[in-house]
Amino acid sequence: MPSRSKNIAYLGIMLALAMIASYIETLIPVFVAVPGVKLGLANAVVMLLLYRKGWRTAVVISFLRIVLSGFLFSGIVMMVYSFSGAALSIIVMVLLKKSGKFSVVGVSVAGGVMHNAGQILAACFFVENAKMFYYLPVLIVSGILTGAIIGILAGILIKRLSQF
Amino acid sequence: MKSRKIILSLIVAAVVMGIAVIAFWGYEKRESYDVTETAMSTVISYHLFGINKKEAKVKMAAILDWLENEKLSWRKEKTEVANINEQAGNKIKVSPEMYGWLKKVQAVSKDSKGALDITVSPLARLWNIEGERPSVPAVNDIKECLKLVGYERLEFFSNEQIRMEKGTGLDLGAVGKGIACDELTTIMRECNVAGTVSVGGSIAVVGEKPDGSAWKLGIQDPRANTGEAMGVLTMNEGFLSTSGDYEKYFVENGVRYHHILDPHTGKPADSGLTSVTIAAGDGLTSDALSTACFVLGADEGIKLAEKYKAEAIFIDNDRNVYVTNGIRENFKIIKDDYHLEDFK
Amino acid sequence: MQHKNSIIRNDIFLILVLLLLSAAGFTILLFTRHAGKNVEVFVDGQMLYSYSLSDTVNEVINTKWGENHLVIEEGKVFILEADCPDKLCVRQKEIDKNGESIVCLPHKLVVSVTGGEEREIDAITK
Repeated sequence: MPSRSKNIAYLGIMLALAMIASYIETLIPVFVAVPGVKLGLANAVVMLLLYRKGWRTAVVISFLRIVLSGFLFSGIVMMVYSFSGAALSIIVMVLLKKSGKFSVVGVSVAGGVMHNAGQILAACFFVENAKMFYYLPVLIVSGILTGAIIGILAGILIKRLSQF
Repeated sequence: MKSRKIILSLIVAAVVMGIAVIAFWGYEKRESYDVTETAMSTVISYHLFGINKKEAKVKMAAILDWLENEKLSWRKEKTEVANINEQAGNKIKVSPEMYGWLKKVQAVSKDSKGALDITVSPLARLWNIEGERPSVPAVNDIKECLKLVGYERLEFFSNEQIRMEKGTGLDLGAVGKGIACDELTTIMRECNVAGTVSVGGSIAVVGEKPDGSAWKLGIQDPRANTGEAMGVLTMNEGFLSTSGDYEKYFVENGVRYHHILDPHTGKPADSGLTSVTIAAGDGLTSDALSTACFVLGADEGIKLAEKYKAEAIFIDNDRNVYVTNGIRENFKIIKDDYHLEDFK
Repeated sequence: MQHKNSIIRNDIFLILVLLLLSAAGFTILLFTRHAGKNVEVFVDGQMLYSYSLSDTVNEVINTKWGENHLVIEEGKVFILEADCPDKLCVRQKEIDKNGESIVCLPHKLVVSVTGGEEREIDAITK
């Protein structure tokens, strides 16, 4: 099997999957009525890549996913928010994974919390002032919750899709 | 590490998390979010409750921006009102929302026999009360101006078309704040937010207060500092507007000339009232009625209010206060120099 | 198995630390909201100054459009004088309760009280 073309096909599928995940999320009404609380389904795909293909691939796909779904579904402002959240989240996840001291769920929880923190930073920048920090405590809690759910999901994916 | 310890830690974690979420929930729901800003050339005060209050405020500010810059202002170029003024004399199609607003205002104009008139713009510009150095215009200038004023100079056709006679100018200043209140309540409902929003003193009240009590709304004392109430009205949902002679005025030779012009005389309305407050089912109607009733005076005004099933509070020059039956129980005078009287 | 247990322990430790962080955040929020009685001065939507309501302040606020002389005295805030055409800011009632404001439209100036005592009425007509 020519591994290069297989790799490209694989990444294409992953990108498509990540985008479908972010599209599905736009269909689900925000389940807690706080702005910024999201399940982060696409993060499960990013984690799968992080564990199976290494951090470079994960970063590239995550970036492409944000840009594309930004243009397609969510709009430029949301794109900047996602970008800020994803950047912070992926840096922390890569570091925690490299340390080898945490499970998939632990890494995902940290990623979820950091994603929310990053979005708040972006919001502080765009919306009026630092008062957005009021949301931080509740977004930490929601980040833990959604991070754990996504972590469990990613754990299953990593196990099931190990042959690819 | 034993599994019992793990389970115990998880339970502790869950409990901490639960308490944190409930605490935040309770806190966010009960605390009001209060912001005062300037927009639409007036003062906007948000007083919002509910978990989405901050998000709602951002959306509400955007709506006000849209109303000012694309719809209502006659001072700005490119607004729909500016376009209608430019196209005076031609039959033109307007947006559905503009058509709806104009029709509603026109109805009040008719029912008030022209006491409320949105074509009063040439007259308002002649008096220029909001300008730098207003003065009383010459009688002849007023006469000339009045020829261009008259609500019947604005005609309505099917398919959202209108025609305004040449020389006539549309000015939605008397009802713009009410229109804004109507649009803002839509957003508040969408965001599931309760509270009050004041657009230059026209107030919209939405939803229930978190502590279950009724909303308390102050009625401006017409002869005291801005922000000092002469009475308090408790109400649930609805819209409140006040028109008074105290907001914008100038004094010349000891006479007070205020900004609410009587389209019949071409001069500031002189009906013996200092303020009229109207509570109605929508902001546009309450704004339109408060202006119309102020011009008409208490006797005619009450009939007009009744026709629209609106409640009213009239205050006259001698600080007598007249309140319609529907809100008599909910209104309390808090300043001793005002006294409640029955309608004649 | 020892390794796996230590990983789970680390995970739980991570979650607990995050929860403590959030609990600390909630606590700070609850306390700062009620402790601070501040007077915030905005010009054209930007917060320029913030004072404590208990300060004694006697200061001229310079805006692009003109000047407003702000006074905070014995827990009350008012504008003493201003060079705006309408002088509505000077004719506004003194403020001292949460959410009350003084506005000078021509200068795009908003002075608001945040925190402290709640006001009795929700809104006032004009």
